[in-house]
Amino acid sequence: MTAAVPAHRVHLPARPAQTAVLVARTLADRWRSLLGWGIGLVGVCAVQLAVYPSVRSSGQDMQTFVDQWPEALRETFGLDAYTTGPGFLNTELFSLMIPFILIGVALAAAAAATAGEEEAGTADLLLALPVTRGLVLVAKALALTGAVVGLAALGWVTLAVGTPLVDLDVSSSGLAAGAVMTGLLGLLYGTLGLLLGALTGRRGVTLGIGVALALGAFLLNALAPLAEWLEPWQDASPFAWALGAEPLVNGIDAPRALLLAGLSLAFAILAWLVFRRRDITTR
Amino acid sequence: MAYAILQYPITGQEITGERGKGEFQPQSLLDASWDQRPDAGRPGARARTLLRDPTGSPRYRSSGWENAGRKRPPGSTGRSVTGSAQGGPGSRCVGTDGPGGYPGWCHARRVEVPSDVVLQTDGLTKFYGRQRGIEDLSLAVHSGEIIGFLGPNGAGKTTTIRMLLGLIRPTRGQARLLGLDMRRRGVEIRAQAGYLPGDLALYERMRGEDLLGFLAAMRGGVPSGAYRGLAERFDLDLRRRVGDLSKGNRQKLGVVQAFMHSPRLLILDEPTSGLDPLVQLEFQRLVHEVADAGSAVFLSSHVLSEVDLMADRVAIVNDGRLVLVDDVDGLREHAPRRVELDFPVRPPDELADAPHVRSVQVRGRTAVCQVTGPVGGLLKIAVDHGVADVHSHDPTLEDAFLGYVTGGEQR
Repeated sequence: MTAAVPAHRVHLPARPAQTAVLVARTLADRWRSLLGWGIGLVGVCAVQLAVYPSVRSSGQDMQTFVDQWPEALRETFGLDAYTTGPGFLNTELFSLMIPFILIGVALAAAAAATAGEEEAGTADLLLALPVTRGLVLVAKALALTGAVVGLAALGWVTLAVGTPLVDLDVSSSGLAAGAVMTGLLGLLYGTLGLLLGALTGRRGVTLGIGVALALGAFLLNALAPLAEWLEPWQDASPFAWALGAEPLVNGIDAPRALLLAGLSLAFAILAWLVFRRRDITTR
Repeated sequence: MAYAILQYPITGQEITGERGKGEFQPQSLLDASWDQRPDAGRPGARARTLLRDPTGSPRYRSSGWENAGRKRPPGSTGRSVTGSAQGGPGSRCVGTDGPGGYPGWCHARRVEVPSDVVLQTDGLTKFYGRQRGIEDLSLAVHSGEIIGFLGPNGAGKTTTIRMLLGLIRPTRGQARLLGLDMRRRGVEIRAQAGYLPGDLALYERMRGEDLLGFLAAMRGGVPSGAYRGLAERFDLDLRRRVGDLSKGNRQKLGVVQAFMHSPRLLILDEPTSGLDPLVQLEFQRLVHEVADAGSAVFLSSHVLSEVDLMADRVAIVNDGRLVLVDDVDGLREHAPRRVELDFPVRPPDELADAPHVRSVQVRGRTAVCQVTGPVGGLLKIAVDHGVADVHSHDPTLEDAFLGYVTGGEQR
């Protein structure tokens, strides 16, 4: 009489469907945030494009003016080709603004992914469903990827539509390459954020460390040409991997793109391994 | 009073309990002993706890449907044995009844084996660093049974529950839920389990129906009639955003999501917190209904009266250890009873030596005795010494509970 319940054949929900539902749910939850980032991105691009005609018309004068700036600034923002189309975009958008918007989107999504659910206490509700931890992490990673890819594509579309309007001469494949490389940069920090979130379960810690690492990498890439002792380390910066080969002019640099993608995948797998074993915290 | 739960192995053959002053009483504590109950073997028969209805009239809770003032849904045959293999396509819960009804009646179509062990833990232990969450918890819960998991805050109740759901990993020990190993078959277990977290957090920005729809979709498609019916039963407006709901209404939402998929095991952590008394009553009816339909209910609480109203058995934990498992009547029976004896002169010292007397306090000419068990021996001594008056107080569950969770050496 005390025999254990014979294990039922349980009709389990299909994993792809669960994943899709959770991805949609995660994106819906981040909808406002994504909308904000998107408006910011389009706005920044539009403003820069609006300024470009006057920069170009000032032509040589502008370049001469810029050439007088301290070397540090010129190196940092790639001002040596400031009045060319790609040079202008590189300086004004691709060296700082677009990477940081994409990294910001990615890190915010990563911090909200598992750490945010844990801190809010909703992880108890979510993980008590018939889902594996792995599925939850994969869905969160997919949602994050979708957000980053979507915003990178939005930036690309904005620039691809906007550059002809202001006669800015840049190839659309160059723009696409820029979007891909900065998107991969965002994914790298996003997946790193997933790992940090899985390790700490803390949203603030994830964001803080992630932003600090991104800033450090930016500064390393920007300042390395100025300091001899720092120069050998420039290639350690993911910013150098993403932008060092000037994607706007030269297109996608396959080895560097693969490096970014591979590391992102590695971070995601690590996050998956860590999250699977994690003790979920309560509020 | 010495008490020790010696062993209830996962195979569940022998249960030994020791209580009282060295008395050995094989008590009807756990699974094996169910078989020895007079009514064992009668499907569905289980010693039911007398319920004290707020209206004052006692009732047996085994008749949950009638108590709830609800008709059995048409086609439901109660506990009758129909169908063959459990869980086959034919026995899956397909439809639900109308608004206000609980879809769980489809449980009744299952083959009911009264002493099915739905939940069994064996030496389940969780340490947070060096701090003990719960240690060596061995416990069994059967289908159709409501077990109250009782203890003061911080006793390890939530730790245990979150381990069972796979939210935290046990330091050692194991558990089988619905016949499945907790560590390996979590998804299948959770597919058949309903969980109401103790510190309920919901997605604030969603509307109630969207939240339930999401959870239903993640469960592979619980029909919306199931949660709408429950929401209606609890008078819960699903169109409002979760963030705008009161604490009680959030808790209702938590109840609905825990019950909506007709789980075979319900794990409820402090389920009635925030619910007003009328809603608590409805909640109790719901719990009884699902238990009567064959689900096992594991209910944690630090509120004794709540457990008293609902549970068949009580497991008391304190400071990370299981202190006692007993049915509610047994718990009350073994609670220390206070007997006050008035003497014309100073009370005799012999009172303390009387059988079953735990302690004697002398206040003037009155002796206040704590007695666990029959008071005959004490009274005989008292009479011999010319006792003038006797006052006896029925032990309450509070007394019992406090007896177990305080004064560790007396346990």
